[in-house]
Amino acid sequence: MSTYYEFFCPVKICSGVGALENIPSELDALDSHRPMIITDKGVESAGLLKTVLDAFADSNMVIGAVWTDVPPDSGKKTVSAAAEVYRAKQCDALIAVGGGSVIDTAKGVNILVSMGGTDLSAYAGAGALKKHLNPLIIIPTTAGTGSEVTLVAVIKDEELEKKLLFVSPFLLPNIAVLDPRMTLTLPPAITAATAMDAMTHAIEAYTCIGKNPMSDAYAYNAIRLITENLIAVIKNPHYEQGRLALANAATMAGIAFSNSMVGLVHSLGHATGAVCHIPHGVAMNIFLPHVLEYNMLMVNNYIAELLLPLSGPEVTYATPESDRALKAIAVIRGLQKQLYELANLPYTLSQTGKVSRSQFDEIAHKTINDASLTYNPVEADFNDVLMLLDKAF
Amino acid sequence: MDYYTEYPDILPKKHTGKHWYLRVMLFFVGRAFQSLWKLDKNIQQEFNMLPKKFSFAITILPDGPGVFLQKDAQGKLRYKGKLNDEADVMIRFRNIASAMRVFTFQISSYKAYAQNGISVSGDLAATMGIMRCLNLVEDYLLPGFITKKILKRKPKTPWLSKLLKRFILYISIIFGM
Ligand SMILES: [Fe+2]
Repeated sequence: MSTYYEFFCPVKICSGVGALENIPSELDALDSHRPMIITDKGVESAGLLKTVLDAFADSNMVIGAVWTDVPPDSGKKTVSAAAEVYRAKQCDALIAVGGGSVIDTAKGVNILVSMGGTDLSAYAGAGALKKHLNPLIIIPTTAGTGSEVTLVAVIKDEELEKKLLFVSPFLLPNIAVLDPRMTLTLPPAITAATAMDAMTHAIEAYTCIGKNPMSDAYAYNAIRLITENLIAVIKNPHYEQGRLALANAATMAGIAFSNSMVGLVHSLGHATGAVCHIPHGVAMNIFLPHVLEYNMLMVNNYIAELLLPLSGPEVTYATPESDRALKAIAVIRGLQKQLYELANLPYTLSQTGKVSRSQFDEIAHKTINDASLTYNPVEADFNDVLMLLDKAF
Repeated sequence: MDYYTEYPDILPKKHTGKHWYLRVMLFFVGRAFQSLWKLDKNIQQEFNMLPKKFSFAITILPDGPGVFLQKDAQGKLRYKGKLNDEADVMIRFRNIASAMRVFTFQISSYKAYAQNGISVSGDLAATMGIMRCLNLVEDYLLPGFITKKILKRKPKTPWLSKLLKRFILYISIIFGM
């Protein structure tokens, strides 16, 4: 446990049935009346954009513009084009409706329209933003990434073919809106993958070296909400209370890891994602138990504490204290098997059909150069990473 | 009434002793990097992967001591004392207190980083390489009972070779080789 920590989350959470209908009054309180909506085609065709627009009925707001052209892997060009529309239509707030790419795009647009200029690169890095940006409301449509409560944005520079990282407390939105209607139509495979991403955020926040009492509280309860609701939601996608619980859990896990950071599971996931294009949540699901086993050497007690939120009191008290860490990992493996049967979520690298052993060297190199590794309780070297990849295959 | 005499400005204290201590420690770190670059093949490998003229610096905010190291035209790593130039990778201690905790070995540099006592800017992959080298440097410079406390993982250098290299290292630090 750290002797000193910092914790920061100034985001107002509006969560629950009817949350969307409260957006106009929230905007009014921020003195904004011409919001621009940023979203993508998928959200639009799922009917979610319409649900958001309908929630503005009878309000005193004017939707200044709706931008639906965010590609899956958004970049600087999209951001500049959307910022131009925002300025031309004299909007005064942004509403992001979507997943990670939409949210990052909206954060990028907010940098340009608040700070001025047309070149986003000028604001890349940590600490380049020195003032509050325009009001930003985020409505996540997946329950996983936690981007609605993180202070980073990753935006691609298409010309240099590299990812720009933006880090600033001013990138946090004013409000995150969690409405069960937004995730009701998410297909089981994506529901499972994004929930396991959130689960990984919470477990890494709880077991890595940035852990602190505030993050622990969020992480612990996020894990409990996910284990209590995930299978029920996969079996019954229209289970509204379950959907809401998962959305709450994803945001709580986001708050936890935004303050205590993540570790080796994410380093492996970032590297495998970059080399083999495995979706982030799938990679998290695959590597999570292997990394926990590997980290047990240093943080056995923290993993043991997670048996209670992972499996409930009966199982926990029936398990001797010395076996609880192993039992917690076994419970995660059990969950993986269920998710594989119910939602076809892979739990080995070979099940994805996208990874071959010949790529291991490249993945391992990228893993040990990934910044999240700094926070892992055990320092993995190249050979350890190869061993983990082998186990996960 | 003269408010300036009634309510005088209070200037912050200066810890001259701590400044000098850190200056000496950073001098050792800087010289050690320069020498170990020649002695340890792992460190050499890390730096060979970095671009030409690559530079990195450790500084203590707001205006404490620092070290600056750069690869020269031949690819050799050179210690340049304290420079105020922006390096490719900058490792900044938040204040004298956070630097003292690390350089009196109360906490590891990882812990300091996790507690926001150290901030890092520059290419992330290069930074991770520098951090790995810093581990090796600490392992050569410091006795085992300290490194056991502050390193997450002890490098596997064979003991005889380490002893020899340590001896060469101390001599070359003193003579700046
Ligand atoms: Fe993640």
